[in-house]
Amino acid sequence: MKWRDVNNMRVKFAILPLLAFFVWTLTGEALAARPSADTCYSCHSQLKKQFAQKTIHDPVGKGQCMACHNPHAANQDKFLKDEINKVCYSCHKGLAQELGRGYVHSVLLHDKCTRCHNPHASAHSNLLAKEANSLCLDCHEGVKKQLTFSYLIPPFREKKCLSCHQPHVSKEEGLVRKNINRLCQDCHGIKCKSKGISLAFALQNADCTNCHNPHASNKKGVFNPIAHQSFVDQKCEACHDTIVANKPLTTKLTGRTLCLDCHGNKKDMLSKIYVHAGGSKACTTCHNPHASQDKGLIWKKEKWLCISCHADTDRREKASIEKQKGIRCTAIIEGKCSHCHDPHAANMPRYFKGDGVDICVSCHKREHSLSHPLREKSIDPRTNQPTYCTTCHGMHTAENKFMLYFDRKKELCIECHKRD
Amino acid sequence: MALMSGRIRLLLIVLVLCSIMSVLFALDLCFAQQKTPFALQVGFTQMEGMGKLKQIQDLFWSPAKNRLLVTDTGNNRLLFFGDSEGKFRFLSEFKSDKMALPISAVETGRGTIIVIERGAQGIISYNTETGERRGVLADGFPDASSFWPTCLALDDKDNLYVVDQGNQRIYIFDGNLTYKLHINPPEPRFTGFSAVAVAKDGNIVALEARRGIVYLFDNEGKIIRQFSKRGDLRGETEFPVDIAVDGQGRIYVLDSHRHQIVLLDRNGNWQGEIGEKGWKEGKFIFPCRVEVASDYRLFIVDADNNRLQVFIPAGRAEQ
Repeated sequence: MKWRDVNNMRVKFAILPLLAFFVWTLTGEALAARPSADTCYSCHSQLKKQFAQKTIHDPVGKGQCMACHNPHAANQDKFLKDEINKVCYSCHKGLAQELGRGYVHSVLLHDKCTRCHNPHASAHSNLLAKEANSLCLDCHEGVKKQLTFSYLIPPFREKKCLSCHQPHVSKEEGLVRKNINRLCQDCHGIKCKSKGISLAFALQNADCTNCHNPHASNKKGVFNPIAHQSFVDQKCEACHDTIVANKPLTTKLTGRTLCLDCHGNKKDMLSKIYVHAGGSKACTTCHNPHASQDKGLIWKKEKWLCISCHADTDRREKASIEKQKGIRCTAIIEGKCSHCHDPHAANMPRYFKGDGVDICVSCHKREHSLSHPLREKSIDPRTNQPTYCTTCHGMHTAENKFMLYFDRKKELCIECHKRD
Repeated sequence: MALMSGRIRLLLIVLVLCSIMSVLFALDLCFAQQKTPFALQVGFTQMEGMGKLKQIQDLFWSPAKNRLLVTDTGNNRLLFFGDSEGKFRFLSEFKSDKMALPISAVETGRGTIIVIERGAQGIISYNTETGERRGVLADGFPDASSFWPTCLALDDKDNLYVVDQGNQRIYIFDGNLTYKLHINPPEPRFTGFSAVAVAKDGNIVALEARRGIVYLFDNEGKIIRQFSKRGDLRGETEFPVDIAVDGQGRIYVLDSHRHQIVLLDRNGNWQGEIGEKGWKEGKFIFPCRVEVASDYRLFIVDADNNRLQVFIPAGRAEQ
């Protein structure tokens, strides 16, 4: 039977793609096999010796240099076919898919896979550039310093970072391998007590890092360094009703009322126009009532704390920084939100500590001495409002250089100064 | 010949499929960019007889009085606006020496104004005729001691709806300010109500700003459905701060950080977007409040521009 005799279109459509796939596979194999690694090694002879190590990347072992490199021309350094991470993900597809499913190691987002891995061969497992745990501590210097503390969690003392953390992606914050309380309880039970009563019944599902440092501390019990005084003094009854075994823990008063009972000097903030996070949890939305790693007993470092609700602002900031190839506002770069915003309450919109001039001038004194007339001296014709720094400059994001809303060489001035 | 005709047929099928996909894509693109047609009626920072607005914190359309009550917080006063001689105008000012940072206000059909005052840390009732001022709703309902009112709404029967962030509830009081019922947090992860509005059919629409969720409750406080969330997809909001509901039950969610309103139907389906970032009239910078009148006019507080803007449905504008 000849091809033209095959009148059944369905059969033709089934055969054609199969045939095409077969031809493509053969051609692909042929193309891949054509130049051998020996051709590359004929010039790069030293590489062959370097690659003779304990762990060898699969394509290197098979002599498939061109799996990653283009032998003739490329837009990337080292004649890579694409950006380094994309080259890695082209084979390590599982990892690429995982990136969108949880917390991701910042190296993967902002740096290269080769920061940790050697792409060819290594003396360490998983092609790591160094032994796994010392590799972590090279970047995480703050954690490394904790090795000098008096009380160390055993896996940390032994620098076994990967016994608790995932190196790439995790569903849990801090890239921990599983829910933090389960992770801790896998090795030891809950030892917390109040006046001899074990608190295990109440803390089974609690995040241990609320009070304990997950690595090390100079305080016995590996407690976080900044602690509420009643907690240090073990005076649980200062805030809690009498603790009875197996009965839910309750507080003497609810919400902010409990905190303001002692911190009476903060009551004034409730009389301001804008009161931040006014919900029933109020104070504990941001503050840890027991022990924290950060000043002010906040749950996380200031920037991360704010971002936990204001993620969209962070996203815009990052986009702006990328577009402008960096910005100079140190408060934003260093994540010091409270430099400009009052985290508790304010009478100024957006919790500003001053008007749209005061907060900028606190850093930009020189610019202020040279600036465009401000406040009532200059009324914005578009809005009939006084002009502030924020009239032209975006605080977190802007499209143009100097955080300007408009390009200063084009439309910025003529937004207001039109020739009628 | 048979082979050729087969190939041509295949080519034709591919071409037709591509054309259909292109048309669908174009339609989708048009739909995505669709801006719900509202035309600017007026935008102003001041009007004759009232001076400049300063930090407006709330808007309330009184169907009974057919006028807009504006909480001009920065000036410690309430302002009334309405139609006069075919134009939207400033009508009158309500001020009291004791008024201290009003942040939300409603006007009942009987001429009483109920105000949340931050300076007084409570709810105050004003008789507009006599000027009598008295504190109300300080007790007589569950968990009054941790009551922290932040936002008010009123239905056409003068039932008062109070967003209470202290207990994370919405309290409902009748026209005599007697406690009727309250709406509890709908789920354990709930972070608190931020705004409330009442639909014509009595259903209650509430916003949980921190998670961007819109809740629809019946008039008994039972949840009917919840929809939307924080995000940048269609129908989602990045930083919602207020909601309003019109006569057809459509929900206006004000997304402050995207400088626009997301319009949803009563089932949470995306209907369109209103507004865009800008300084000129008709645009907004960090809007903070939205209200809809019975005639579907839309009032928006353009916070950073310190401006009140009034929009009318485009069809009506053309008439």
